[in-house]
Amino acid sequence: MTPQSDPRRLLAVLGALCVGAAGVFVLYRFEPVTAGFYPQCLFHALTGLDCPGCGTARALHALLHGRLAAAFRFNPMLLLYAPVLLFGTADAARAFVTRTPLRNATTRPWLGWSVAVTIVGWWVVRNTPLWPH
Amino acid sequence: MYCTQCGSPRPDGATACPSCGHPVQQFAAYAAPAAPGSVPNYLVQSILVTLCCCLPAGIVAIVYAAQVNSKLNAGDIAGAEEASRNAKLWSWIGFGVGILVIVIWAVAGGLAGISDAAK
Repeated sequence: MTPQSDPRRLLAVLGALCVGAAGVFVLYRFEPVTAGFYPQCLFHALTGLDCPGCGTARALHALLHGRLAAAFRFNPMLLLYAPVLLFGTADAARAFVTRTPLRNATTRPWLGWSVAVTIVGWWVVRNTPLWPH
Repeated sequence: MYCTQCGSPRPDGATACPSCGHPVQQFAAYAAPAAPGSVPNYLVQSILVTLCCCLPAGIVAIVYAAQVNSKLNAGDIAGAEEASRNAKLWSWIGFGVGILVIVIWAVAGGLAGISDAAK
């Protein structure tokens, strides 16, 4: 038996997909540092330090233009978790639309804890001279 | 399966040994690992909020998201559901603050543009 999809939820996912596609287009077309209209990070503005997500827009822009090394330098977490995010988003959307459980790949206990450890570790390391700016 | 008392074979699902009457212990109800996806972990949402909304609230959400599957594995369904609710809550807090910052940023930028134009 194939799970029945909820049409309203399907519509919501399609809407989110359009917003996402628009976001990807803007990120592809406009360079985050020179464009001037990208919002600043609140944590960075308040503390002067970088948060774990700082550089994600620059990294995505570099990634969309195929510059992998630059993307890694701006924010390695994006490249590291891109497969998890792509598969996980697709699976979460499928689970949401069909009202069925998530598949196993994103539900391994070690995955959640490695995400927590690597992101907190990255937050610390990036604010030391160890990481090139 | 064999009886732990007299060693004679007994059919699966029997509650007592047909040979000696020794009761079969049932442990299945205790701490059986629950299906991994049965409680949503919000891990993807937590990572997205951490990377895109620039807020430490995302880290709180990631820690709760990680707890969901550890607790499910240990058979603690109530604990997993609690962690799942917290992961969802903190993802939304991070997302909300991120949107708020973008709105304030846009309004401030708009006002700056208007005041520049008025000069």
